[in-house]
Amino acid sequence: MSWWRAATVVEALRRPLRERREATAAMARACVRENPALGCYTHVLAGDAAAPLVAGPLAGLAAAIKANICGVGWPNDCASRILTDYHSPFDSTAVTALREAGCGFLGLANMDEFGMGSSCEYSNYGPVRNPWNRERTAGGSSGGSAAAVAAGLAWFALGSDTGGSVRLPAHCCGIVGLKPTYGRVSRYGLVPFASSLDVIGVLARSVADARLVFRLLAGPDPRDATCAGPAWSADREEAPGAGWRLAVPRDLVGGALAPVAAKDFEHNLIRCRQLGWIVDDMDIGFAADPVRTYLVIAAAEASSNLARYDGSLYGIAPGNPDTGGDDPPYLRAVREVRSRGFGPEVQRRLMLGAYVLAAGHRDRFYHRACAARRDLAARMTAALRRYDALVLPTAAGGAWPLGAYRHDPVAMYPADRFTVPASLAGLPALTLPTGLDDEGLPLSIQLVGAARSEEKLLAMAEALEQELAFRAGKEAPWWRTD
Amino acid sequence: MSSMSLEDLARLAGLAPLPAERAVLEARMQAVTEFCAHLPCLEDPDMAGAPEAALEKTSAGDRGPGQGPRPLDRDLALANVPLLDAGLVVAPAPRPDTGTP
Repeated sequence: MSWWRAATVVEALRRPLRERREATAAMARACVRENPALGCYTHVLAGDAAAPLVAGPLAGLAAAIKANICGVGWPNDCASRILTDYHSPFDSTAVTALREAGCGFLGLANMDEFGMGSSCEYSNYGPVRNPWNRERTAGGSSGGSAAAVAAGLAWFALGSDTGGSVRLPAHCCGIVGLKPTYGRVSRYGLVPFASSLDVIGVLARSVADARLVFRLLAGPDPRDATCAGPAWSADREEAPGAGWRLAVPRDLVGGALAPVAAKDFEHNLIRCRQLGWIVDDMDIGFAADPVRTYLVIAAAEASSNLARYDGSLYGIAPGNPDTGGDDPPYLRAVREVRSRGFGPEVQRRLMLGAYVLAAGHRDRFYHRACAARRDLAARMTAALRRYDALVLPTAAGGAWPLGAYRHDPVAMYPADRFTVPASLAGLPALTLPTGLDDEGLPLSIQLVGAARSEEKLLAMAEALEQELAFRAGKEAPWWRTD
Repeated sequence: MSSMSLEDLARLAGLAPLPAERAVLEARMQAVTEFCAHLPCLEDPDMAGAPEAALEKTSAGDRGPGQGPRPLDRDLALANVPLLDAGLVVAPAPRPDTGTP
């Protein structure tokens, strides 16, 4: 097995630059060879994109970039037919930060179309397959980013998290997923899905790697009015503390886990106590189901954000409008473009967004969901004044079979039940792999911290990572063929 | 389920009629309707606490008679409670002459 298959960024940086460049070149060849089986990339990049000759803290390494994060030199189609061949004329702030650090780019990571999905099956490029078991989902919507990192086809990856889209794929693929505080990393250049929830996050093979990349990304950005930072500061870093206090929201967790996942979760709590941390049970008492609150808000915002894809400035060219009856030709052309360009899940969510924002419905649905969101955020923030972090599972069990929800997409919503609370509250959250279930699929734990407390969250996760001594993929079967 | 038909919704969303499975869409609308029907307590101003009060305060005066709804993005920018709590995001003051941003 080549050393780079399982190496972390931190380990790679201990090697000479020449070895890192050779490893990244071998990784780029592996991407071309193995991507057809995994589907983790929509486009594999080569040449200067993968190996820029730029000095910096990440020189010689290369990342996967989710296909909704803009950068010059590659197509940003968000895995949607409606943005076919769209090339951004500018770099996102996140991509700029990586370029300046000397990082290359191996490819555009596959995703659920516009980030709408939890399984990476709603892509114009077909599904992403989980490296641990190719008949299982890689999670979504950043499933391509997670699969690429887990399979050793990228040193790390950028994803975006709206309701769990970094953490759920990290869980399914057995890697670390960090969703920062809303507004700590610039969203400039991230194609919007739900603007009050979208965050650019990091997927990596270790907590130290996630910290290294996050340090480059965090900070205020004048081009994103909602990005207030602050930048990473050594003053904010925390040494592992023996007396850290964690809380388990039992009313959210209770009865929702598969038996093996429940056993793993309780085992992880014991390990936290062995670190000298205090772990309390609590009832957080949300007034409303977070998943449905998320559903209403995300659909409303998506309906607003995706209105721009009408075939005039953005979107595929109009074809032959044959729908709309007596409507004016322009409206018929818009409907033809959008119906042909958007996939079925996006169309469902756009209709739901139209429903909750329609005249007479806005107060009844959208504003009520916003009130439920404020209640949730207030309760989580209050809990985090008393505790250093909340502890939750990331998902109810290991990765589920591809196609399991093909005929009942509504049944997939509960997959996000443990991830949407942090998204709705704008709080940072980190998924840490903890072990394997009885089918050999990864399990994980999720830590949720107070706003702008990533430094503490990462220190906590790193201490737990060392205590659990689980690093995904050391013995992963798909690497043995290399 | 609302009196709006799925065909009406499709037109509102700029899509051709019935672009996706009717049963899935109806189940989704029904789930949202039932969910919102069980939220009466959230109309209690004591329920949401300080963050809601902060939002109400910062957005006061945005909507006057005849001015129509605020742009949706404005709502979204104001929706981030942690940043509002910390005073890091401040809503722009309404213009005194028109009351609109």
